[in-house]
Amino acid sequence: METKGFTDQVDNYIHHLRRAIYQPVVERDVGHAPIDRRKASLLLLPLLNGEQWTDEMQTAALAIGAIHTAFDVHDQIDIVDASSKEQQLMVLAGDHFSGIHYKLLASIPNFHLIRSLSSAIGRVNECKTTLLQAPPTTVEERLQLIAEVESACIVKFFESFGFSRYVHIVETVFPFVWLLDSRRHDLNRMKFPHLVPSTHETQDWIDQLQQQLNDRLENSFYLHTEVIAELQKMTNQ
Amino acid sequence: MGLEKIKLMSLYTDFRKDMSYIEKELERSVQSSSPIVRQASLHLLKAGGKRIRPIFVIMAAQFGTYSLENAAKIAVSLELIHMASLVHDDVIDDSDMRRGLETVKAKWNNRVAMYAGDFIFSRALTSIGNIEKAPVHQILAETMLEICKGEIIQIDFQQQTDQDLRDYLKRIKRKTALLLSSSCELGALSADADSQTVRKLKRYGYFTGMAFQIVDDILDITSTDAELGKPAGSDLLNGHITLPVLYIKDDEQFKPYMKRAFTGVMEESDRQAMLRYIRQSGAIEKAQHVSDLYLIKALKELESLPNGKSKKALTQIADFIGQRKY
Repeated sequence: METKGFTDQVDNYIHHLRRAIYQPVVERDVGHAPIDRRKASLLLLPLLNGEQWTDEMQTAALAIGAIHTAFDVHDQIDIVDASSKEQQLMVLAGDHFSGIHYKLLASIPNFHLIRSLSSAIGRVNECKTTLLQAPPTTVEERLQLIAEVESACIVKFFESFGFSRYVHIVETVFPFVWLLDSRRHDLNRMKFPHLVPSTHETQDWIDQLQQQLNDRLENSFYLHTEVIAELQKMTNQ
Repeated sequence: MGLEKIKLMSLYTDFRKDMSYIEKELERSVQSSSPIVRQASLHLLKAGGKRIRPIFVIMAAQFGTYSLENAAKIAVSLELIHMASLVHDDVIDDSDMRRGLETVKAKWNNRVAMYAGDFIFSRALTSIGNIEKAPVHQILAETMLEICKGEIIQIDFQQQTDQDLRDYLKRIKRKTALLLSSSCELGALSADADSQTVRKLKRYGYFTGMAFQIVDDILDITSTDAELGKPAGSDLLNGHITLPVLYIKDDEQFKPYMKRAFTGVMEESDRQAMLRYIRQSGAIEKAQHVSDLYLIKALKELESLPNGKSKKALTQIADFIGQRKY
């Protein structure tokens, strides 16, 4: 697969996701929903790697994209004052995207995925609350929670459709890119900027996770070289 | 527990065992490994509520092949969806008090309220996820989206005085009536009731829900702060035009009150004067009349359903809604 094919497939997915979650008032007053391209690419990893991709998988993937977007919008609610019209609409936009996620799963219908994703959504919100209000003291524990927040729904998706062999990749990439964002001082993009470790510690963990990712990619014989190249680009230091 | 709630609970007498099971299931559903999420979820749950959605599910399910286990999954799910929306509504309205208790956002902060609401929503889906009937999920998903759309429109309409009765009714349909309608519909579907019965119960829930919200909007003006557990007139202070206000919004003497209320900050004496003005204007009686018309329609839907303890209780609930004081 060429890089252009990779980009086109992600673009195509984002286009469909944008259409699925469209809400005219929100779009007019708040603007485009923040769709995380990196997360979309990791969700589509099996497709990009040439796995058979059914209509059911496509619908379920859109449902996961909708719930991810809901999470991301709700993460932007001001901790103290959400009284502006824009913030009020963002609360509701997140709820709307959650509803779209459920509607998509109900349209398949995939009861197993409704159950397993609901447990992942619950877990994500538990982890986010812990990271916000009572974060663990060690960087390792924090990174574990961040990995869960970002990957839990994708993991359930992979497990549901027989793509479990991709789980370890996404679980490594998410905490890794969180650290990379912090080193690039990309604080607007990242979640939980208040948990960024010291520069020295960040570098140590980046090195460690880079090594871990390299080992995993090396052992993932089923990954096409183009996909490996894209993953490396995503985690480029 | 307030007198009104005791009155309502007395209508549930025949279903006390079922409701007690649902209460336990609700509590079990919001258990969490995160102490803050658990506290935040239980905080609202323990504050109580009328549990009108669960009781509608239970009563509607009596018209088919009743299974408490199945009905409870739906009842818990609907009550949790309602709870999750309340937690988020308090962020939107910047409310510090609900049911006489501090809101989640006031006790912790907005972000915890967002996460707690999303967590409760996830538990709602966990509960209903065990019902493997596609229409149940499709109806609930559609209902959730419509409720959300209603809230978005409400924000969009905030402080807009060029609204008419049609706008208001469409809004309260989404805000309240749809979830009550779905409670009855899904309860009946869970028990495989026949399609005519499902339809009648769905319509009963819808009409009752419309009346319920109109009465709620009336009570926001006629009740005391203590009865409401929040300042009376909160709807207007939040820029929402409800039915009684709709009737006097063009009154020249009322307009200055409305303008000041929309700033969100009003002197206490000014707020009281505004409430007195609405109460004596005749708008409350007009709104009450509309609510009564919906209740008559609701009761009509029940007429052809088989007699029994469920029909009796649904009739009494409709009567209660028309007469409730807070």
